Amino acid sequence: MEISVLRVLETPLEKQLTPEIKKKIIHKALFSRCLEERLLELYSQGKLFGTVHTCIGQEFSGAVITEFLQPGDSIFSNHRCHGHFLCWTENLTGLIAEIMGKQAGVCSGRGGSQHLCQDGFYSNGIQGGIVPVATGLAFARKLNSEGKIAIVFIGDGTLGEGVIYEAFNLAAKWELPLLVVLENNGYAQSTCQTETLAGDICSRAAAFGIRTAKGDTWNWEQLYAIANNVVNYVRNESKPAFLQIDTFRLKAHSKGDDNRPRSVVEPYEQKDSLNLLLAESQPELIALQQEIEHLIDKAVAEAEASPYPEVKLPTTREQKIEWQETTVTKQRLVKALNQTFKDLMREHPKMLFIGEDVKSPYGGAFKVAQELSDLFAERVFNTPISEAAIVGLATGLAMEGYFPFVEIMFGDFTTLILDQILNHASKFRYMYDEQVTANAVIRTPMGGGRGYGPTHSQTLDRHFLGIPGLRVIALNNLLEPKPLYQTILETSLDPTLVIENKLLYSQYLREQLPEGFKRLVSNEPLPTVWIKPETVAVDVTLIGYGGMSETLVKVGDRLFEEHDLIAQIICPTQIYPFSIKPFLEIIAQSKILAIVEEGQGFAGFGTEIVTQIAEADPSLLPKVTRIVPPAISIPASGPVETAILPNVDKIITAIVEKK
Amino acid sequence: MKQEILVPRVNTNDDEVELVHWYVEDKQFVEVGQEIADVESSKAVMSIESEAAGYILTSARVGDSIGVGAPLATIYNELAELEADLNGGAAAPAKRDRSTPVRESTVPLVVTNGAVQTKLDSEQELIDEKIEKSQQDLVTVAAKPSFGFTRFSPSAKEYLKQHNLDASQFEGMGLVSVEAIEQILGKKSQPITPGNGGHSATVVTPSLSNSNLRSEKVSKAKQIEISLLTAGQAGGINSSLTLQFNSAGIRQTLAETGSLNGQILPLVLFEFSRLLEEYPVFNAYYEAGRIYYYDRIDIGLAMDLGKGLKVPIIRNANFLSPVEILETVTDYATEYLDNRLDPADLIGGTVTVTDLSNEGILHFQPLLNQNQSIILGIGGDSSIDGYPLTLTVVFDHRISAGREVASFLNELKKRLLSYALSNLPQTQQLAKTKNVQCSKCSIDLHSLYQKFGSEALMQVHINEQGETDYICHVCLEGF
Repeated sequence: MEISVLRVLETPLEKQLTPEIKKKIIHKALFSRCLEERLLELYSQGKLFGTVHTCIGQEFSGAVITEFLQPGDSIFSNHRCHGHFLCWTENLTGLIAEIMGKQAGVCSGRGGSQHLCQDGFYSNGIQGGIVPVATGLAFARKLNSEGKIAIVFIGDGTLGEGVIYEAFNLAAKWELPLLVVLENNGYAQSTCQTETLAGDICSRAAAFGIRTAKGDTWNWEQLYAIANNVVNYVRNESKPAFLQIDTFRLKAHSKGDDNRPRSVVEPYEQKDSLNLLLAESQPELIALQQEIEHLIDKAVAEAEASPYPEVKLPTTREQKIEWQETTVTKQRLVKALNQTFKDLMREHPKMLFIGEDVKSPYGGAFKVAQELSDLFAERVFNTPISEAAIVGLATGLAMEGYFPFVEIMFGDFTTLILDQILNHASKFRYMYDEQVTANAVIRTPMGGGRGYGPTHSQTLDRHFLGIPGLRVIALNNLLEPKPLYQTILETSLDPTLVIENKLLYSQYLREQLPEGFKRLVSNEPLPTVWIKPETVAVDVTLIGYGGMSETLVKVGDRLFEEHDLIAQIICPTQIYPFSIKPFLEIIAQSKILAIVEEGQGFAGFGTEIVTQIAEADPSLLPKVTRIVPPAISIPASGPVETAILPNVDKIITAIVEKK
Repeated sequence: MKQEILVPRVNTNDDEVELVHWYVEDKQFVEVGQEIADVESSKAVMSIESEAAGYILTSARVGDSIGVGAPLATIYNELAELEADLNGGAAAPAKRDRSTPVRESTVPLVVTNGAVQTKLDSEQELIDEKIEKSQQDLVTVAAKPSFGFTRFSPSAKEYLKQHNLDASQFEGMGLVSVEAIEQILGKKSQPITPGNGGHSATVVTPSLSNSNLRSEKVSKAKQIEISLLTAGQAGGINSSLTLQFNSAGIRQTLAETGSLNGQILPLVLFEFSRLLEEYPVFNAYYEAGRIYYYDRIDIGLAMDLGKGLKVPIIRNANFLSPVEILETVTDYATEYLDNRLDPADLIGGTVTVTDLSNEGILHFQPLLNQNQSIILGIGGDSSIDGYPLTLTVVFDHRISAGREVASFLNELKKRLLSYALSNLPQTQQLAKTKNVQCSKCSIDLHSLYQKFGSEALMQVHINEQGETDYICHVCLEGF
């Protein structure tokens, strides 16, 4: 579906390449060139942190494309992003200072060379990972209907990443205004494309029904016309397009690692548009170059004068925990969740519900989304089986002020979204220096007990614990879900992973506790539950969360009836970030502290608790026992699965042994 | 600089301790941690250690009862300061004039026979009264925990039986395990929690009694009884009213109809519990300026059949028939004699009845129990013509007044006397005289009682024709 030059010329929307525009484009390209050459110098002088990926030789790509962007559009880029950034923002000092790690940097030195952010420009150093995010932003732009678009620059090396095809599919199917610009420089770091790339580049996008076009940086005036057409198509028809720009990187991938023979590089040096222009020695251009060098001198001086940023740590408020009694209304958790989302979607017009098989009549694999699409047809979306892409999509939507709730059908599939969470959503607010928030909510059921076997029964939350910027919540049946989701929706600046539990779905919210036990909740935004026995002598503290809530309540009752042991239960809702410190006084009242986990014990939540206790009050350590499954996969066979996962009997046995 | 050493709370039940020994004399220099005195609670004797170093001035004498939180002694940095205080400085601390006896009993105020007797020495000065008031407040704050319910673990129940402990002392203690029992009884100290500093002023040591008199330790069961009754009196302003009438007529009815094994007690309990429904303040209690109304009528029946006083609870007595009450009482008596009373059956009474009429006691004044507003005492003397019976209600004047109790007693009397044959309406008398026989096996009432004694039961029921009819308990089971 390549666009011919002829067709471009016929386009009525054509923006004429006037001498002024030409001059501007050359100016931008030269700006990029001079800047990056200076960066290489600064690097050699040891004034930069990390490395520098230059786009020397590729400058006309960014210089031309940015001509067609408008304020309100978004540009996503990659590790080789300086040129794109400069052409869009013209913020020389901010860029140099950022790469120098200075306070005056666009991200206060948090991002550095590969992680820039300003005025709708975002770059990230993970190959392809930003494409789903760009897709999400394009989706938001479509929902906003304001004619704004998203552009994402990728390289030919990125064509090896699967997630971009998930994004292409979504963008094409949902007709999102996304322009993918593929800068084809023939090398992936040091590896020549001929070694790794099969088939044709444009055909890949075309296979999804995406309109494609081709141009190159040597004929940048022609590229101008092509880009003009493509951007107009994306903007006016609200459909994705794919623009392949052939180009060549004249310098190393990153500083000093170029193995390409001179014989390969030299011909490109000779045909490079800027080199050719400079060789003409036009006085105008020489003056321009001098002016640019002067500006760069000034910017470098400003950047050098800027101080290094101070280390800013998150403020951890060691707030005194207060407790108060609460109740829940007896109903099945799945019903309560379903009602929660019906209510929240009614209350929040920007809330979106996204997932596989979530629309009516199916309503999600566990029926949490039942009837949602009947009530909010415009805001509930069935997605392809593309977990990574839909999480990236949600991230982009969240960046634009939407409240996306993504359902991952089984918790086991969260391994597929790890990069989107770890390297994208959870990083954005910090590394872009608070310029953006990405409060996507990802919900997923975890847990065994239904015979689903090794890849559909796991509790994998520990893999997501300890990711700065990611809140991890585990729902239980001791608290109403509505206020929790309301808080999650309304208070977060960062993404949240909410773990629901398969077995709890069909169980009731625990309205009635065994006689003698009170339900107290903390004054934390996402409260911890303390099932407090009314007694003068507590023997055991049980700590567990999520699906363990119901189990532990039963354990508490039976310990009393059968073993004369009085147990209290601490059931955190937010399991990361989490501090055990506020609860040490409660724990100290008992003789045994049993930490019960359904997931693997090694390097998990319990391990963290024990470590924190060791740091805060080692005298409590002898009380501790952990009750976790053995280190094997979860078998499908019912009786064997039961024998492996913690259950009431096993927990009681372990506690009585500890006693 | 000076520092007071206060009496610590030794266990949850004791609001005061008795000073049994001083290890030091006034003006003596004491070190931190040095034992200065022994005090005795209902559970144990323990020694008090000095919390500061300095010169000591004691505030109590051996034999004194001192409220928890009250000063025991004062430690002075400077001897001169101590002497200045001792010599009657106007700014004397909570130290009493040595010539004035420390009041023998502090808190709670001792109440006997309905009259408040504050044992304040009339000579005591105003300043002392103020000090005592503040001590009282202190004690009130440190009340024993109450969760409003009790649930024993099976092991705890077993433990109570084995040690012949009265379950009622654990009333309101929530979940009770063996561990909890031992803690409540003071056998085990509370676990130390961080933040409490982990140091305690008290250390349990063997008793070092210095009394030369022969003494005998009050049994644990008796101690518990004392503490409960004491608590019942605490702060209460109790009064009593008694009403007397002849019971011969009622007893005659019971004997002639063979009802209730001839016993009047189930009938009294039956009418009492129903009448209570109309007098909710009698099924309530007073605490800290509020009246708390029970939502059920659970009558505690004081019982002493030679194995110590026990008060099993007749739950929801107002929903039971006289026969059911008789059965419950009989069951409890059997369990009492077999030492099988379930601890759970001994707690949670909302009102108490005690019956000494079988002992030939015509009139007595029972003691009000904790968290109740009245107790009914039943007296009687068969040796006197007409078998007089007395109903005495001791009541908490903070909740109710004499007029109300008088009306309650008169109504109860009226209801009871209505059972006397001579008082029955004519028609009912006729009904009584009619031959009552089982509609199934045709056994008559008289023969049924002859055959089964107290087990006998002739039930009224509606037959298939919609008429009232009788059926004996033997046939009843065969339905």
